[in-house]
Amino acid sequence: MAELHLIGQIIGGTEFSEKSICCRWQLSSGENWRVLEGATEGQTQLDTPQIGSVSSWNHPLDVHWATRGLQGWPQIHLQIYHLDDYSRTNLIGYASASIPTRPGIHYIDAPAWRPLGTFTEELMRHFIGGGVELADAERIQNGADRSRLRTEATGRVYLEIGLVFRDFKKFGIEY
Amino acid sequence: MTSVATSNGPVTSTPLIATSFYYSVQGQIRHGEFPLNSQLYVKTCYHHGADWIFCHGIEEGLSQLAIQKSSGGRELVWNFPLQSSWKSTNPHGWPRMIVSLYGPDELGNDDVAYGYGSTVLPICAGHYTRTLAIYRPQSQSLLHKWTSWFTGRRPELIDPKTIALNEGRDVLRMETLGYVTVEFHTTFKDFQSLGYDSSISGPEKVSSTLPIF
Repeated sequence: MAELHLIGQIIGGTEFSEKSICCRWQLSSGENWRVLEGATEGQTQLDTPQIGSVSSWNHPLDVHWATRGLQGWPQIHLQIYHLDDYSRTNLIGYASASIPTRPGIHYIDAPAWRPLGTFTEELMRHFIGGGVELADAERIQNGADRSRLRTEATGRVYLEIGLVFRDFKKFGIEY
Repeated sequence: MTSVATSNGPVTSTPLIATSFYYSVQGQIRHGEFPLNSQLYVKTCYHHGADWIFCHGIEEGLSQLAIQKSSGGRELVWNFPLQSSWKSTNPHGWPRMIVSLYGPDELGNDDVAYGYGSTVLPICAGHYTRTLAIYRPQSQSLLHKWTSWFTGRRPELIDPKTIALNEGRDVLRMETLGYVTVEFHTTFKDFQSLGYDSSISGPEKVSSTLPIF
């Protein structure tokens, strides 16, 4: 079995309409992949930057997979939340990214979007917060059933993904 | 393969196989940019997994107190050397360096906590520069904010290593106050002979990907 290590961090988010933001994340992978060590989901800290435009989460990622095949290469899914002055959490974005397929240190950004509701729902969101969320985020973030969504671009999330491959070449995988 | 000749004929012995790899890091904490502060010092420490052993170097460092240039530059220059050598059998738990910043405040209190940041040590051999965001816990209420400003006792983490962990981060409310630039030079021994490959050196930019702080 070949092994993959993901060692990196979720750096932070930027360009969102709010600055006090945090993020929930999950790493998903297919049936061929088995997680040997490390957490595959979590929630970052909430950061309000006093300088600059990046809300820094600096959240560690360290996962060790064993795999029998290339199908189901890991992906990361993120949900970005805003904590407002009244301590309510509002969802302000979904973002996904594929984990790169070459070893080394990669800096990638995941553009975020949020689903739009009807005119009334958006008006309510403007005044009292909240807004629409996906009922089944996992399905949508995997690409199914998106054709009925209308979404709006929000911000972007930066990730540092370091990858260590083991024994991939032994199984004939070229990268 | 080594073979030993004896009086009964050559006898072969098994080859030497590495069971652990070595990782060595040199570098420095170059400088910091803190628009709201003008004097700070840095404490460094490392967090690593159970399969890693710290062999050699400075495990907990303490820098000098750096002060901004009197002619008006913004940088606080530490130029603080970093050295660590590690031995491991498993990339999981790759060491992360945690920096904690302290300094005197305007009211004369010493050793006020100004923030924390961390970075994972580079997984490839080579020369790398990292920008660490430095953040500290926010005060929970306005009253707390004022009293902590007077007394110099700002909210701080009991254990700075918390920021290198996945668990328990969701309860933290932080505010980013500045950035620290760190440089690393890394080398390995026996990493590849154990079958590991992290060989593409340097950051690969898929799009305009580094955040502009």
